[in-house]
Amino acid sequence: MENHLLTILIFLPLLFAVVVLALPERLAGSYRWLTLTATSIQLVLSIWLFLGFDGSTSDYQYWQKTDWITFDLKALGTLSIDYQIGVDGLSILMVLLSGIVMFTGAISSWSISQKRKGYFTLYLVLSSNIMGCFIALDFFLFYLFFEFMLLPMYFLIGLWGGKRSAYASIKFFLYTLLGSLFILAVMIGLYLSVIDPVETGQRLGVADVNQVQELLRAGQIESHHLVRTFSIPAMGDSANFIPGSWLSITEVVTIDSSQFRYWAFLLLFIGFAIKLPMVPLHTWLPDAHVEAPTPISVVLAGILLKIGGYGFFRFCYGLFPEGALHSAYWIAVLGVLAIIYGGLNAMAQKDLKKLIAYSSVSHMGFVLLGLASLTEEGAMGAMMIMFSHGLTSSASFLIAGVIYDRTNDRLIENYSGLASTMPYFTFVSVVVFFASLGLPGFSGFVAELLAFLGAFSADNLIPTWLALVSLLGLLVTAAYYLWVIQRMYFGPHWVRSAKQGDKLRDLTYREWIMFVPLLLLIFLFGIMPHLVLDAINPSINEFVRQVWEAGLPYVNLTPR
Amino acid sequence: MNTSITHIAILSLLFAPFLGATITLLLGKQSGTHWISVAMVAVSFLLACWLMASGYELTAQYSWLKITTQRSLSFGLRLDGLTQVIALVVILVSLLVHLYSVAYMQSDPGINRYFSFLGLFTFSMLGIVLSQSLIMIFFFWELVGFSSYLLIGFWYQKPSASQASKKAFIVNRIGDIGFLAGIAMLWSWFGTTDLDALQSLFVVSESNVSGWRINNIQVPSLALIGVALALFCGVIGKSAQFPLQVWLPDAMEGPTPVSALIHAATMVAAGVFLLARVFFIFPSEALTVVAYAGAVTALIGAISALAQTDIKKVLAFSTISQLGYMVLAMGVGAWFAALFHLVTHAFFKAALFLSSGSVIHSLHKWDDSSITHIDAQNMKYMGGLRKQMPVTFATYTIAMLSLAGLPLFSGFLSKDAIIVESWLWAIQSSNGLSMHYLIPFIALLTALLTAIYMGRQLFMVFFGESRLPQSASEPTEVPGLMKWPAALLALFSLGIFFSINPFDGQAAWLTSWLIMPEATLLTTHIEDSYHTHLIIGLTTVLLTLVGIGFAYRQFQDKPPGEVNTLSTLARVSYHQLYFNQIYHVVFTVPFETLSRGMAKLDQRVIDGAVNAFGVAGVVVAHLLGWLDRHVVDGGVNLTAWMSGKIGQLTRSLQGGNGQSYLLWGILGVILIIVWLFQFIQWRITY
Amino acid sequence: MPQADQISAINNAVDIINDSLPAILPELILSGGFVLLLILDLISSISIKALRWVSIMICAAAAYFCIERLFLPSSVHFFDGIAVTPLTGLWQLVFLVAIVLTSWLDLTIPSEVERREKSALILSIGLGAFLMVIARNYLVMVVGIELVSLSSYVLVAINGQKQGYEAGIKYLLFGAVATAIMLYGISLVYGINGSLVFREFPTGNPTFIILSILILSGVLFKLGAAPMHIWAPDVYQATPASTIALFSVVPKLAAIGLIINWLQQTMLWQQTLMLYFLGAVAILSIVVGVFSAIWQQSIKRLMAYSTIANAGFMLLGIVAGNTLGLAAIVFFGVVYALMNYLTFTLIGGWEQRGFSIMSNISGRAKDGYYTLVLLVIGMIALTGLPPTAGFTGKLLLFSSLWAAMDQPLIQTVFSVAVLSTVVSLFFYLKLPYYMIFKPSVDRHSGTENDPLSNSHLWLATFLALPLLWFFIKSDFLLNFIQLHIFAP
Repeated sequence: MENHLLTILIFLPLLFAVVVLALPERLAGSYRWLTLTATSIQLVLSIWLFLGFDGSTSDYQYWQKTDWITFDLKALGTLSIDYQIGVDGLSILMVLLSGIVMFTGAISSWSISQKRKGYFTLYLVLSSNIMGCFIALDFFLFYLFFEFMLLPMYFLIGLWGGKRSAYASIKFFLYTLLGSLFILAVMIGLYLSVIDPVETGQRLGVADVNQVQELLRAGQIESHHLVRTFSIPAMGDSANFIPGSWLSITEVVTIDSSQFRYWAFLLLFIGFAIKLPMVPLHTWLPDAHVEAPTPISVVLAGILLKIGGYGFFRFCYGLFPEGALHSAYWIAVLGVLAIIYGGLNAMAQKDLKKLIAYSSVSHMGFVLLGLASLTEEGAMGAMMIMFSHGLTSSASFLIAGVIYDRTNDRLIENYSGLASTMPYFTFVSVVVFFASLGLPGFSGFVAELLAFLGAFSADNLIPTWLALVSLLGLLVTAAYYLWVIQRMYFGPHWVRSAKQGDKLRDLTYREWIMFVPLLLLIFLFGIMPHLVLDAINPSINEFVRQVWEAGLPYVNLTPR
Repeated sequence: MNTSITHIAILSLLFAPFLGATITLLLGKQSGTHWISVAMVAVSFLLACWLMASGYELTAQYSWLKITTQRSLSFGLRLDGLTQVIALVVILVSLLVHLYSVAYMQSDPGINRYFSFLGLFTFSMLGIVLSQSLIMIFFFWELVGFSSYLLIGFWYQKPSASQASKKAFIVNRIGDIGFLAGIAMLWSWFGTTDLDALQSLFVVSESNVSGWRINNIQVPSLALIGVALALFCGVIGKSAQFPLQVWLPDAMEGPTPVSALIHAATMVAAGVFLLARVFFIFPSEALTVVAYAGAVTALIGAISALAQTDIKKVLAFSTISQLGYMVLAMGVGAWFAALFHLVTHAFFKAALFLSSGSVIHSLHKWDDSSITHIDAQNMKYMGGLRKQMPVTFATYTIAMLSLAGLPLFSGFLSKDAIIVESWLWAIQSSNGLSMHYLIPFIALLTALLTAIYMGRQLFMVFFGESRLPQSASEPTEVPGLMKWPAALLALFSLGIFFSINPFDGQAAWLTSWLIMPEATLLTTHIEDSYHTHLIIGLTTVLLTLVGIGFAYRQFQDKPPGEVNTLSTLARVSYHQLYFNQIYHVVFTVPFETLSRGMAKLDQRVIDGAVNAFGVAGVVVAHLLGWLDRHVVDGGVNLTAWMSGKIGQLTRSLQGGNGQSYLLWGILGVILIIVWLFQFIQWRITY
Repeated sequence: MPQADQISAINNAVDIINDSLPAILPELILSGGFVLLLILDLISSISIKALRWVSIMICAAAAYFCIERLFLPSSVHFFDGIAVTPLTGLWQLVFLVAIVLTSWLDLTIPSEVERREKSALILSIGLGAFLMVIARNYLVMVVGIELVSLSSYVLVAINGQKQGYEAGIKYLLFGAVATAIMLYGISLVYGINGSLVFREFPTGNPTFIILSILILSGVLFKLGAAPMHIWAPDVYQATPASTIALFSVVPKLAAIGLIINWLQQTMLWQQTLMLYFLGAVAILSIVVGVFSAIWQQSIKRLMAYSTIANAGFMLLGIVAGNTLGLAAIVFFGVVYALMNYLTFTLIGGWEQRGFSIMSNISGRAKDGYYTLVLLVIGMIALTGLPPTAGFTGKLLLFSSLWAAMDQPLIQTVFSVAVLSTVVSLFFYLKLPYYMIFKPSVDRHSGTENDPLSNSHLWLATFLALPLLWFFIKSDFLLNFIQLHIFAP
């Protein structure tokens, strides 16, 4: 039963989706309950997985591998695609976060009223795809979940969104599809260059894996005996690369001057940067957020952006370490640009949701900065930022949702002095906004502190002046969040859209259920971050060590 | 055995106010819950006294977050002389302010919220004082900034209050950025931010030509100065030093007890406390910069205080000026004198603020009872209050004289010590006339100005005739719960409380508690000479008396001048040397235009580029669509029309539409052949 | 030559013919079936449905022998005229399935508007395609191409509307000229080396590239690839959906099969000039197909451009020049057939309700969500997104391109193919986009609003399931193909 947990985690929502599809329209009321049970089971499972996660080793846990498709490519040998799933330090936090955010999203979807069957089916399909993305250890399987997530999102934003939702959803779909095609190109290049030593060994009758790799390096295996694979662990180990293949790390295969592998790294980087989103490629996010309904905004900001970050960890940095090392400086520059640019844009926004969207762009800049530093602190900071931003941004979008539900208007200047009529809501908003600007005592602070420590101590990759400029991000973030609090919550009470007499009612019971767990988690992980970070510490340290060890010989850098 | 008890004692001392704060916040509605938070602060006060008496020393370490086997972020508790003294001062002042606020905030609906924020502040301030590692200090540093944000913006209905709280937090945040940069640099070099560990590293460091060799890491001297000044940024932000002092005068929007506790005694002193803690990191060049910053702040604070009309603004600027003194003292290496001044200043400034609060409170009560409406904080309505409010008058005078620095008062002891040390330092480090003499000169000048503005306030508020508009009642004395805590604080500002010999600051009993840490980076050593001590002492006393006399003659029974009638110098001082306006023009306006520009850039250029792709695709589609329509259908219609025409002429020509197809078909094939020959052939052979 | 030799030459010629006759049994069955249908058509008492069932019977018989052909070793007959290999058996099976599906679709069309000769003509197109695929001799090739072309001209013209006549005439003229160019090329080749067999292609001759382009232009016309594609949009718009489905699958796959055989036999496979030509044609077809489809309002016209783009994609497999490319083409061909038939079934259903342009179907999602689901599956498959076999098809094609990635031609072709997928998503999503997002314009009551008829939905489901299955277990299909392409 132990290693079937992950499979259940992926296919349970699909099962519920089929049930929702099967039920007739008159039982529509039951759809949201079904979705809630599905997501709560998922939440319980992900918590159980996290608690059972062994924090002392860095290898894959709950690992499972079964043969799925084996293509006979005649001259190029055979291609074996396996249903390989497993979780390690890099993905266990994201699985936990997905459980939490999907559960919160399910509750906040309570108020969806039209075309409920379509909505809840797509929501469940989306949830299973997200889980699949974080759990898949086979590039093909990851790509299946990564691509198939776009369709439900397209319909969810398009059908239940705001006025310009058609434009926003098609822009989201096209933009992310372009990114995923870049990833597809690299995926194909990789599988043509990598063999699975275990299965090739079985085919050749050689049991020992290193011996197979020796034979491969010596080129004594005929090409039709090779068993090519999509498995990420195999792609991570440079011994599995066929000498002379496009992406083999040993020989230099150039495509007009620069190495194939460097082009592959760039394509992967752009693919995941669109998803992150990184600054020049971010313009789909504000539109998607403004037009998406609240629960979908929560899911989009809560988890979908983290798939981009996770992609950097697992694919860009995991498979092409020398590319990462080579361009660490530029990634850091892009990260800092995202922090400052996102922050400045957020300051000039009139719509609350757009402001939070740009603040997400700014926070994701920290992920890039943490990663680019390639230090233990920086990598841990990047992972923690993804986790804590998942919580804080979900809470922020719920806040925007609360206001939107009451007055159908998100412009910041149409409100003032909400504190006098909605005291509890003000308390929650002040806590959430201060948590997102990195006040100590909340998880945001730990994450940003680690990222800064990483940026400063990576003095051979990131120059100190760049780290200092990144610190300005703290100031910009504080500026726009405080402006929002002061403009909307304090000062004399005045709301444009509300009819004079009626007071805006404070948080309802349902809204409290959504906010309390998020606030508790943000506070808990702010005070005791080791609850979360100790579990992933060995994997992160192993990840950094591997990047340095694999990438260093190909880059003229002095190790730290 | 005793360490475990002290351990528990320290933890309970730290967390008692926090517990009080959460309880009062949760039981928000019931009345009387504020007494719980007062009780909690009293508990921690008793604990502090017990710890002070027992004289235990303790440093404890907890690993907060493990990063690698060698490096981990650590929190720790530290109990030594400095901690005990400062903790006691903080808790004592906080307790008295709590008592005072019970009466002051009685009529306010948000009283529970007020007391919980006050408890949160005390908790975070104690956090700073007790912490062992720089990261823990930073942790509580920002929490202190957050609680002061909450307290300044307590009356959130007032737009000016929420504006001031936002400004305070952001300016503090600028300072914190520098502080964090310093911590991160130290972390990148030594992998730890634990003060003991750093201290042991710096003690064993030896200087060489290009910098310092610490823990076999070659640290260039410029980088070390950079780190020291980065840490000093934190001090500038929190203690309202020269570039970032604009937030403190606006912070007066908060309730007066808040100003008394936070913006007089404790929070602003946190900066000086941090300087004391990280003193060993500062090389002497950095200390000179600190000294000049302190001196400039002292001068600016004093000048701005001269022409203020608001009773609390005068005290705010005097706080900035006195903090300048403390930073100046640290700069010249007078570690003990700075901290001694911090302690004495905490008492008499808190007393001054509380008594001014009493004045404002009684004027408010009088204003409510009478039909007129006056601004209770403006000094032009005050005057001759010594008759109606005798106790407050006495408290105010004692504290004012101590601040001005007359002998027999604590102020004199600490301020005189600072001026003497700065004088000795100037002689020492410059051997002959040089710029460094400027520091003691500014110190003396500020002493004179302090006497003038404090004298002015005393005579304006309490002497002369009452300038209140005619009304039946008169302002009455404040209730006991407000006047006795202030009186107690005034008592502490008497000289004998600190040292028997009223003239020698070094004799204070505090010296046994506040021992200067061993700082090897300091190159200049100061010998004390009795001769200079005497002369400087006399000159300061003389200057103070002159100042008070001038104030008496100038402002005995006159209201503060109306802004527009002020002389240019007075108007400059009233507008705080126009710092606010300068910063607004230099920083805020360009910051906002930059962000609006970025938003437009993002909207037009980057989003535009994406849409351009879409548009380009559509344009190409249109082109091909046009080609498709006109060439194919158009061809059909054209040829239909043409064939109609030709048909009428010849009737024999067969329908032409097919040919247009062929034309394009064959043309296509020929084009490809041509392309193949011209382009590919050349490319292959070439 | 002495008379005895002549007699003996005639004798062994007759012997050769005798022993090669059994090898072409499926072709014989089809031609016999064609004649039978023509005769039956004369007896007016037989209903149209019966005719359809007879043609399905004939296809089943031919299919039996094609399946048998899969397991026989490849052999050459009729004086090196035709070569029967397992691969050709595979192609022919696909053609038969296509013909059966078209006939099934015709069953659903109400009988009063239907033409009786249609089933016969469909069989003749099948026969032509059979010949094209097994051809090793230019004669057999021309006969095959002409058989397919002529029967399709008639099919376009006979469906009764005025538009049909016009499109038929255009199709005829364009086809005739293309065949003329091809015949001119063949005659030049015959003039040079005096033999009509593919193998003896005068690659030594400096003008070989012109000869090959002339010959290929006829085949490209049938394939509907770029410069020779102009007839496609009009013809597709004017003919009923079931016939277009046949046009978009059988002639195209036959042309691809013919090009592969021809290139292998004439060893033009290695000529870089040849690959540059095919690369250019592929890029041109993809670009023209994808970009002009963006702005189409008529659904059938949109599908026409989509087939042009897909023809370009199939040429990619050849341009890659490796065996994986070959397998990828066959795999993509099968999946392409499924996708097209699924989409045309739905279009056929709408056609019967008079919906031909996008705005007619706007807001129709409410009529039946199941149609929407099927449409979305079809559209995702055509774009090449994962849960459908379209993705695996494109994945294999791109992998074959990757294998030869160091040549600049392949890099440009690869990037054009990848970017075209993004643009193609835009117009493929227009159909579901109109169905869901657009407000329904002309919604008057009547039969128009109920969902598509059950037979259409059943057929579409019958086609959608393999599309999903060939993604989940795509190795069944690919290993089956690989087995037969490289059979001894």
